[in-house]
Amino acid sequence: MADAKRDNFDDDGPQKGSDWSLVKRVFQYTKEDRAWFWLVLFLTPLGVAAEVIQPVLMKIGIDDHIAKEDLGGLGIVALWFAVTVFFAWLSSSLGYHALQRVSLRGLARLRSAIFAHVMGQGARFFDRRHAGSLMTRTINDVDAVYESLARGAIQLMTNFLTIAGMLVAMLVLDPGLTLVAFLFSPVIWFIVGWFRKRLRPISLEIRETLSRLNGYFAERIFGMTVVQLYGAEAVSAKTFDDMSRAYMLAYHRSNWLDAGLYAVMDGMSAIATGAVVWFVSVQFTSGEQAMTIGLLVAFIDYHGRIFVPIRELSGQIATLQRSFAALEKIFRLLDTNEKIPDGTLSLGTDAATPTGDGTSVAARPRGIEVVLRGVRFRYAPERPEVLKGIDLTLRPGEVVAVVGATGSGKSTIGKLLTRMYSGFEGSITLDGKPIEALSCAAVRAAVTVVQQDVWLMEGTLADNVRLGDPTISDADIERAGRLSRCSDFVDTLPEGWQTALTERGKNLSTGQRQLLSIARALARKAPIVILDEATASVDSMTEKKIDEALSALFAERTVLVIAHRLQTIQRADRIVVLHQGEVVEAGTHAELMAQGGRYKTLVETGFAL
Amino acid sequence: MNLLTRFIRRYAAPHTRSYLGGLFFLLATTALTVAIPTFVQYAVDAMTLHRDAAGAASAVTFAWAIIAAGIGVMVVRTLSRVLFFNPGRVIEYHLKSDLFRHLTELPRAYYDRMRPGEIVSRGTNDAQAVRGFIGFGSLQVFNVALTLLLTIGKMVVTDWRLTLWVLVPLLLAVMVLRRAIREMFTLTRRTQEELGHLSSRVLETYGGATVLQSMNAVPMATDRFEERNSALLGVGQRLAFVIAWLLPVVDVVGNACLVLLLFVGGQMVIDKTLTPGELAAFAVLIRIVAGGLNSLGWLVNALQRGWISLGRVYEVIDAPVALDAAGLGTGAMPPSVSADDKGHAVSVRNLTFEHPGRLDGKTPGAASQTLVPAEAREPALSDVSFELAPGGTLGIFGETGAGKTTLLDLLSRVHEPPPGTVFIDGVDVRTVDLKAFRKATAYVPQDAHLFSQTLRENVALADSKETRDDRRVEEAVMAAALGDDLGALPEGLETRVGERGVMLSGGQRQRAALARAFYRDFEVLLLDDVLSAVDHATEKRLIDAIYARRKGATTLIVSHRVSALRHADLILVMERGRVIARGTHEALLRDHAGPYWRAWRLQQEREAEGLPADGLPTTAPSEVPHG
Repeated sequence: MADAKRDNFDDDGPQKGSDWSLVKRVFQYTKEDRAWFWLVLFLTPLGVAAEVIQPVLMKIGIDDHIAKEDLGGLGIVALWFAVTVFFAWLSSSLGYHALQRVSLRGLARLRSAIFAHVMGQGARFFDRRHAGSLMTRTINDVDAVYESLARGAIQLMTNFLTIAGMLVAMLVLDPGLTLVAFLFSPVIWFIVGWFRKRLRPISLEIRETLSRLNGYFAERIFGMTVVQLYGAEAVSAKTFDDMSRAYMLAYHRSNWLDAGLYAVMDGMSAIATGAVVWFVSVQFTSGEQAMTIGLLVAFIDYHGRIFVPIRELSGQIATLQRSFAALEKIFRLLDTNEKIPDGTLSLGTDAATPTGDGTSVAARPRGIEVVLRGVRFRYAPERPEVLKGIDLTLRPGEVVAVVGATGSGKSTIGKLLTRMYSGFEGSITLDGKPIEALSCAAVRAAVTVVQQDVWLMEGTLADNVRLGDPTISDADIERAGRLSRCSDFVDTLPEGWQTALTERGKNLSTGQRQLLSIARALARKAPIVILDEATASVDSMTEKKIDEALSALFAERTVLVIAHRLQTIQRADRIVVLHQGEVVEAGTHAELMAQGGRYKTLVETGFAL
Repeated sequence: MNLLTRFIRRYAAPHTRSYLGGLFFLLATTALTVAIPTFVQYAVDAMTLHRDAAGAASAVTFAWAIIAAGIGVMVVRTLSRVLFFNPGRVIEYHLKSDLFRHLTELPRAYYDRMRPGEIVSRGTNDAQAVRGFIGFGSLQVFNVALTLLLTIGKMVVTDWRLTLWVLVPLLLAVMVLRRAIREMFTLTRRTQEELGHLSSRVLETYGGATVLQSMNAVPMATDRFEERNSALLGVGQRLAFVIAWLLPVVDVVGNACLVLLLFVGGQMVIDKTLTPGELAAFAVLIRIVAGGLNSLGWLVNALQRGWISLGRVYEVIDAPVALDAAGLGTGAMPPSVSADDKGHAVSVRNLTFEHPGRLDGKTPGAASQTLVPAEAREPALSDVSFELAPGGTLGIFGETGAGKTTLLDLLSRVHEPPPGTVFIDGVDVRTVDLKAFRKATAYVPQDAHLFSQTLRENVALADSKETRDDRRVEEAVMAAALGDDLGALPEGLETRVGERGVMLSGGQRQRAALARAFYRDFEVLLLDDVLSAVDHATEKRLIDAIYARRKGATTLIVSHRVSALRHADLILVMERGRVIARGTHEALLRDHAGPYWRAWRLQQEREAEGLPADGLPTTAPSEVPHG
């Protein structure tokens, strides 16, 4: 399975929409904040316009009022200037704020949508994917969209509008002068392109070298004991040194280009200013004054403002494209669907309620009969059949052990009974109702599992037993803990059941985890328990406790044991031997041993599973 | 000696010439930057005040001067940046190398105390911040200082009252900016933390997706997800607020200053106390000053962070290699008798050991692995003594938490034992040079740490490509019963085993670690439960291999399997850090009681039933997600 479990998203479907359709689709997640979005679209151009108009006001102030010594008029222009400054700040800040609100909330919704989509998938989906790469889709790719699309788009828009607005303003003020000022523009584009083309591969190299270097560093630190024990200090230091030097040298190469690009853009605005001054002076020589001081000041001001947006524009387009790659991966995941079709029937309200004397809440839930008839199943169309016509009845209160070698299909039965997989042939019924007609929630309320490899989450011990089921009271947990022998270690803890688990239960021993898994089933009211027995070794004391916990479980539930240990198998009411997807023998331990068939062979070869 | 002085002497001093050159070109850059508005001013005044052909001609000259200054700026700015930034990179490289080299010398106790994640962060993030401090920071300090000095100077010379009018609001704006930047960094860090929380929650949940489904617990999982998701959203929105409203403050105030200039300066021009050219020059200078002040806000922050990081890096570099008063041993390793009789006598006398506390109050080692009530904590080892003859074999038996691993850690000097407790050929090991001691020993710890390189490189860990003995590698791999597995690996010995060896199964990892020990020429062999993940048949093969390869080396084996210990000359039975029984296999079984006897009987029963000694081999490939 592990080999098949490589990340194979790329064969999930040939969807390759246009960039525009990707943006349109992600845009849907901002539906609730549409009003804010229109505000952005309204404010941004206004803010840019307010910025663009400022040098014009400067010109009017100088030429029409200062030059004419009109103090009152100057005051009015200054007032207007102040208004544009305030308005530019308000609109650009409010616009940025609104856009951030729209995009942050939209992307939080996108994350929720991905999460809900993933959590709604059947086991087939998870068989073929790593949790890690699904996490990357949910978090990192969404973050990449935010960085590039949300931040990038507004900057791109602002810069584009700024450049366009200023060009228009300059052309209106003086077309000839504008032409002179931007005589060098094609040169700028050429120079910036030249620098970027050379910088790109170096930046990539730098990123890769750094991530290798940091990876190496972290790995050696975590394994330093082994490095020291085996005298690998010198080799490690040498390798680290080489990698670190490569990183430094790559940066030295990029420094020249980086500094050059920065300086060229810096110098360019000075050259444009020089060109304008030159043009004005030359015309001045010819007698009449073709331009005013105010116009010159306005142009110089524009030069100071327009080159930064031009420098940033090409980089921003590249960033924007990066978000499309992330969006495509996200939507490809959202378009994959391997959900289990849900039924509508329920098992009757009394199925999950206690029938005991009313005080012991979870004791002896009402029994449910499970019947499998001619069940055939394969995990995927291209893979072989794992179950080839299984007939099996699980009567209320029974403990049935399923044994068989790896690949005999014994674990599959449990997975079908909890509706992890759909698409089997034959029939599975619970209380006579077909499993596929029942709602998944009803099935899973009736059939629960004791996992082989216990899944634990961050939280208290009690949280990990309860797993969010509001019907499980503290008393239920206490009781389950006592029966499962968890109390033996929980009671010694100062905080008892409220003790927090460290990262995925690393502070629990293997045996404690197994006991906790049994407590989880005992706290639930499901009448049927699928016990996938653990194979990991524990010490003999713990082994004894697990046996006792299982006794408690067997005493009050219907249990289907996917068995690995002889002790458990011997205690089952019935043993079903599976071989290559078929039931080949059934009976008690003694009967089957006497029969001398496959079971006896399995026992003698030590269940070489 | 002062930290900064030390740092500058060791790392920055060799680059003095580069820095001086950079400073020279920076001066030129700033001078030219200030000259440009001055030329504009002269040109304007030449045209407006003189209003004749001579004035126009001189204005043309100034125009050319502006263009020349522009070209000059391109050259000198490039040079100044390169001359400042390149040494920064070299310094980062040297600093990291020094740091790493020192880290290879630091004892395990240091790693336990600091925690590896923290050390990694110092070697990566902090080293980078130091580079920012010495590269970008040093450039900007001079750049900002010179720019502000020259521009403000020029403004004051032109008109001090007008200067005051525009400078006061700008300085107030910088104070707001400083606060905003601090707030922004705090919120950025919190965003990263929240992102980390959300990631681990999502990873945790996806890892248990089918379990959660089968327990009808998806709604709970969704609530848990949304809790983190909205926490991230909340911090993100606060950050967006700061960025939207507060960060642009200096630019906004800069624009507002233009209003003041227009009004106040305009009046001055009308009053003839200011020339039109000076007004034009002021407009440009305000932008430069605003830009400089903006940089100042960021610079102060970068310097503060860099300074803190420098302290954090030096904390590691200055950490003493010997953690206790006994210091480092320098004595020679006692020699072996001969190549075929190379073992040493090992004796332990009244060894009691307590793990030094961690910085966070947790105790490292076995005790932190399981939930143990605080009052039940005892020293990891109490009063352990034994004598082992050269070439002898010691078995150590006990359940989890008995102190077996701690004992081996002390014997291999992963943790230095207290002086006068552990002796090799009668010599206190603490007096023996650590590297010489380790060269003679091979210790295979329980956690077979493999590195993400090829299997071959992992086996010959201490060798480079040039010094590696490939035949010896293959021999070691065969002896460790890995030969059959090689065929199943995509590239045999050249297979890259992935981070911590995830490409291999648990059993394969253990055997690879054993091969790593076999590759060495050891005189003392220490094995910590290295056969726990292999099946019974392989275990027998490996035990035979261990006995065959050791050539008289003294051997210490930790196990909870009797079968791995039964041939030992002496077996110690440990419980809660104490030796509660000792003897040969036969002697320990004689009284029909005690944990060793019970384990033996249990394992005997299992074997009789045909089951492996303890449950099943867990050789399933690791499915640890790493994406």
